[in-house]
Amino acid sequence: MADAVVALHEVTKTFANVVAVDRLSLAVPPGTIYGILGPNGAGKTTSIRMLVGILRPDSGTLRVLDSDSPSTIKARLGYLPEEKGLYKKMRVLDLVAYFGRLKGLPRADAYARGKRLLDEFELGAWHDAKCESLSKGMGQKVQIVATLIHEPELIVLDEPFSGLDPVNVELVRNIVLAQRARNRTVLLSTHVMEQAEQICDSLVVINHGRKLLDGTLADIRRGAHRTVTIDYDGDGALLRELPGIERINDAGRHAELTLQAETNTQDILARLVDRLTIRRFDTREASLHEIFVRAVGGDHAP
Amino acid sequence: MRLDASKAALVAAREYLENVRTRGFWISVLMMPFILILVSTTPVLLRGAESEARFAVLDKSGWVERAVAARIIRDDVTVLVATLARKTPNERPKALGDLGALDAADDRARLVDETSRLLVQIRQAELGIDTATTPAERIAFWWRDDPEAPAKFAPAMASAKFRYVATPGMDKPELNAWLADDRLLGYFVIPDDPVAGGGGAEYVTRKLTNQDVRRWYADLVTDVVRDRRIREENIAPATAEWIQAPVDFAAVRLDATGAEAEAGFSDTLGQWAPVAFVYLLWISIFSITQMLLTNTVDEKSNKLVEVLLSSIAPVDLMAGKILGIAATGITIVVAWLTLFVGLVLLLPGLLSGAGGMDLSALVNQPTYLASFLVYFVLGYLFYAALLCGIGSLASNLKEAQTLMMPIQLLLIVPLIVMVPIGRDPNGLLAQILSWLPPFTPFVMMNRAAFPPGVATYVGTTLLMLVSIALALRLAARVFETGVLMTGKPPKLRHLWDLLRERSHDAR
Repeated sequence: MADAVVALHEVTKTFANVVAVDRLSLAVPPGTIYGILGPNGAGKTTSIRMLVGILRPDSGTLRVLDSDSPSTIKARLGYLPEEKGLYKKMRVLDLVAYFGRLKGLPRADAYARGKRLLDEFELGAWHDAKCESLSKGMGQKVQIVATLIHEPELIVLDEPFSGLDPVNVELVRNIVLAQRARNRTVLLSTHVMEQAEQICDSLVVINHGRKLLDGTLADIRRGAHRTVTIDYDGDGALLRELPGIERINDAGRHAELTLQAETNTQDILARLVDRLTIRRFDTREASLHEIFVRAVGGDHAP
Repeated sequence: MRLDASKAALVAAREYLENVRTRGFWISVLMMPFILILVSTTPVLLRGAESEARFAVLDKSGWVERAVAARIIRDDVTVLVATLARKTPNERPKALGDLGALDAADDRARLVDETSRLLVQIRQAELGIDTATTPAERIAFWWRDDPEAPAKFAPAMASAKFRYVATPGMDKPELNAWLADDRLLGYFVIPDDPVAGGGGAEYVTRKLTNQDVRRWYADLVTDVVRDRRIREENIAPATAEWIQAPVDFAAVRLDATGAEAEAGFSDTLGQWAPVAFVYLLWISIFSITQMLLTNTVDEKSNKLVEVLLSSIAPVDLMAGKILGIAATGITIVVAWLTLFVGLVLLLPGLLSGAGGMDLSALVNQPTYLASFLVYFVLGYLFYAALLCGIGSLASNLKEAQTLMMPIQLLLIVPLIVMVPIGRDPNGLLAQILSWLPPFTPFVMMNRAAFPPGVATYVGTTLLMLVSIALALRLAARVFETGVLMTGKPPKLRHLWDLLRERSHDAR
C-alpha cells in the first residue's frame, strides 16, 4: 500500500538467539484504527518498539510517516507503552508540558496546550497537583494527555486496555475513536479480542513473531468458517457426536460451533433438538475470538 | 549517535529542579557544616565526658608521693589562677568573684606560690588558721570546702583527669582487690630508694589500653627524683636547668621564591590541606555518582524510560541525566565550600577552639579550591559515565550495587594512597597513579601542595578528557540497550557482544 502510514516489509528482530519478530510485513491505512493482535509473547511489543524508533530491526525495511528512519520522526508520533508511569513528584501540568517540550513544542505552547487538554479531559482542577496524588484512572488520563499533547499524526498504544476497569476501558476507547474522527491514525496492540472487534478497522494477527492473517475486519471474517451459537440445557458431551463440526467452544450452557464448509445448519439444528433443550440457536459470522483461537491454535512454534 | 543539546538540556533542567526540591538535597547541603561543627567540638565534649582515672600510690620511699602531690597542686593552682585571670568576676565561682583583675604576671606568680603552699599544708593537715582573708587563703579554703569545684571550673587541670585516691597503709593484695573491683584504674609502687636507681617502680593495672595516667605520673616522679639527685650532688639549680635544657629545632620552610620563613602550624596544615581536599573530593564524587546510579535505576523502575525514548534518543537522555545531576552535585559542593570558607573566616573561634588549629590556611589557597572544582568535574564525568551504563543494566538497586563492586574497589585506591602521597607528593607512586585516569583527579589534587610541572598537568588532563569521552561513548551504547532490558542483568560476555554489535550499527 503506497499511502500507508506505517509499512513493514520482511522485518526481523532477534534477541540473544530468540527470534522475536520474523519477516513481518504489514501496512496501516491512514485515518484508521489498526490492531496488532496476538497472544502474550507473540512479538507485539517488539514490533511496536521498532516502529516508534526505540529498537532497530535486524533486517527488513520499515517506513513510518514517509520516513525510513523512525528515530527522525519521533516528534510526529505519540507513543503510550504498556508499562507506563509518571514522575511522582512532578506537578501534572509540568509533566505534560515536559513531554510536549521533549517532542519539540516551545515552552509557552506546551503549557497552553497542556492546560487545554487537561481541561478537556476533566483534569482542570489538577494542574498543580503532584502526580503521586492522582488515582489510577486520572494517572491514565494524564499519560494519554502527555501522549497527545503535540498532536501526533500517528498514535501508537501498546495494550491500552490492560489492567483497566470497565469505566476506564470505555474512556480510552472514546479517546481512540475521537482521534480517528480527527483523521489521525491509531495503532494499538491487544490480546483482548472483544475490544479489537469493537474498534479496529483493520488488524493483523501475529504469533511467534510471524503474521498469521491480516486485513480489514470484514475481509478476515469473510475468510473464516461459519459458526453457530447455541444456548442449551443438557449434556454438552453430546455436542461432540455431531457430524460436520470443525471445532467446539463449549462453555457448559453456551457453545460456539464452527462448521465445516459443506455442513448444513438445518441438519445441525435438527440433530440438536433431538438431544438437548435448545433455548437459542444463532447462525452468524465467526467472532474475532474464534478466528483468533483457530489461527493461533493451528500455528505451532517453528 | 549525535547529541541533541536542547533535548539533553531539557532533561537536565527537569532532573536538576526535581533534585533541588527534595529534602535529601538540603540535608546533603547542611550536612557538611554540621559535620564540621561536630568534628571540631566533639573532642571538647569528649573531654568532659571522659571518666576520671582513679589511681593510688604505694610509696615505700616515704617522701616521693608527697613531693609529687605538691607538684600536682602547684601545676593545678597555676592553671586555676590563669583561668581565674581570664574570666570576668561574673564568670568566676561566687566565692572568688572579687579577687581583682589578676593582670600582673608577678601577682599571679605570688598567688600561685601562696595558694599552693596553703593547699599542701591543708593536705597534710598542718594548717593552723580558720578564717580566710588573703586571696590565697580564700582560694585554698574554697578548694578545701568543695574539692570537686576547681576541676569543674578549670577542666584543663590534671586533677580533672586523674584522681588520686588515698590508701594509707594498704598493701599490694588489698590494692589488687581494689583493682578487681574497679575502684582503681591502677596503682603505682614507688621503691624504697628511687634516688639510688635500680628499678622496683611499678604501675599495676588491668587495663593496658589506658596508659595516660602512667605516662603523666611517671614524668612527675622522674622530675621529683631528678631534683633530689641534683640537690644531693650539690649542683646549683641554674646549672641543673642548663644541663637539662633540650635542643629545640625550629621548623623553617623554604618557599617557592627561595626565601626562608619560620614554619608555623598553619604551614604544616597548608601542606596537608590537599589530603583533606582529596577526601572531600572523594566523598563528593562518590555520593553524587551514587545519586546518579539510584536515579537511573529509578527511571527504569518508574517505567518512564520507554516513553522518553519514543521522544528523544538514548544518548540525549543519558547526557541530560549526567548533566542534571552534575549541576545538582556542583550546587552541593559549592554550597559546602561557601559554608566552609564562611565558617572559617567569620567564626574562626568556633573551629580553632578544638586545638588552636588555624584552618584559614586551607581557605587562603585559592589554587586548592580551584583545582578541587576542576577535578570534581573531571572525576564526576568519568565515574558518572560508568555508573550510568551500569545503572541502565540493573532493574533494581540491589542488582546495581552488585554491578558497582568493581568500581567501588577502584575507588578505594585513592583513599589508601591519600596519606602516602601526601608525604611524598612527587614520588613514583604519585607519578604513576597521576596517569591512570580513574585516579587522576584524586592523585593530582593530592599533589597540589607541591605541584608537578605544567606538562604533567596538561598531559594528565588531556588523557582524562579522552578517557571521559571514551567512557561516555561506551556508556551510551550500554545505556541504549540496557535501559530497555528487564530481568537479570547480562553476563559480562553478553555485555561485550552487545558493545561489539552496537559498534557495527551506523545511525
